[in-house]
Amino acid sequence: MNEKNVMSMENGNDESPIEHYCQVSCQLSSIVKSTGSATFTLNDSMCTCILNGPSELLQRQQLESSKNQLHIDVQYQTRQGSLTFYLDKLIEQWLETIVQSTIIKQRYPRSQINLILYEEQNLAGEATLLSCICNTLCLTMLDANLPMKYAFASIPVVLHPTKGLLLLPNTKDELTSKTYFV
Amino acid sequence: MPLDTHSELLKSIDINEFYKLCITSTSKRPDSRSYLDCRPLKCLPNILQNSNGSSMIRLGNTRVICSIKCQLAKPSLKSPSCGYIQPLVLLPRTQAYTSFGRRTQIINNNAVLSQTLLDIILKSNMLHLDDLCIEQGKWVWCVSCDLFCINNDGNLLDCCLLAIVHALKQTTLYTVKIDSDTGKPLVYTKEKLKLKLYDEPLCCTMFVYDNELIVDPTLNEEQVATTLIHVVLLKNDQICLLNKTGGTIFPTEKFQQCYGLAKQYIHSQRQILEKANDSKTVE
Repeated sequence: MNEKNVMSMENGNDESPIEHYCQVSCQLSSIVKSTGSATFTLNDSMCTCILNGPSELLQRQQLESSKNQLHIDVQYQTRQGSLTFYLDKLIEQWLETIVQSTIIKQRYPRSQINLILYEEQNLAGEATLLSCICNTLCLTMLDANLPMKYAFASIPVVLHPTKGLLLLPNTKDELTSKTYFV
Repeated sequence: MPLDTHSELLKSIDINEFYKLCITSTSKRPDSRSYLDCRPLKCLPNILQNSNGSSMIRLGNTRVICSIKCQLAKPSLKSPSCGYIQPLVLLPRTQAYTSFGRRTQIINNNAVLSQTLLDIILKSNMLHLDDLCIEQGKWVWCVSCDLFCINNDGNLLDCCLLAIVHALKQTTLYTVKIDSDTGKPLVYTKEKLKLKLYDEPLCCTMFVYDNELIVDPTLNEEQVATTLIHVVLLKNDQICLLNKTGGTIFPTEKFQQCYGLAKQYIHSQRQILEKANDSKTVE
């Protein structure tokens, strides 16, 4: 499904509403051979995610997981390859905590779920990319029909030095801001 | 650990049950702290003689040593007047909290902690990388901070951040003069300059259990927690980093409560840090 969303926001100070354009587009099941996949675009960032599972644990993984729980494996790769090892690991850990708290783990004991995410395009700053990754994850889990306790979404919010708090900022505004929330 | 008593046995079988039992029977945690009490904190400055700066932090049973070594390096082409800072956390394999799956867990843990510390240092403007420049485009200081965790009993981010801030406060750089004939740097080890710090970010970790906010988790409590919250505050109590993991619902009043608790906790941490700074070096 491809949509172009036009959102209008009302600024408390001015009288007239401010029109804010942001491009959101999504394609589910973009990769045929996986259990679930999604490609999501938010402004200038694009990200794809593939989900495989729930599948059986390998012998060594069975020994590794001391409890009969669902084992979740998340891999994230940036466009540049393996130059940014530590930042990838931080993002992977963040996503793993999200997935751990979302999926109803009691349904799949002694199984594993593999998630592979990769960033296809990032012309904007960190905030839009992180939101894009988070949304892609949720859509992939929905596409794969995994039982989830809740669905989640995220938008980037930046603190611009002159314009104040901006939701879903343009690339130009985002790159001039120092603080962001996701 | 001896499994004689019923509680010890329960702890090793199902930690969730043990914790629930402990909290409902006495409204205190297993180590008889109340919800808002933190463990005793001890900071030791300058414990290593061969590094430019060092510190050791003991928070209850968690022990972290930080050692800072400054080396000369060539700056990158993108930023010719900026030095480098590289925090690296080493958690030994014996300190993993489950007996299996140690290797990936340890690698991930180390990487995540190192990157978080680097993010906090750069974004809080604690150091200006321009200060580390000796000659623009030719020689800069590369400050490598190695953190070694001797014993992991929970709350590693707090300890590591404290250790690195404490160690950076003690760090002294050697004076370097560039020889005009050969262009090579001459290092004078007797004349030292203290590294200038513009801010001191400190962290407070809390977790949520049964809708109660509890400060300073131990390792067992971290496993039991549904949500972990890290709050990093600067000297003027501004928020530098706010991280909440896990899936519990969190109303906005709770955030205010979090911020208030973090402010209190970090104030007491700063006082202990000041006292430790003033004391002489430990032999």
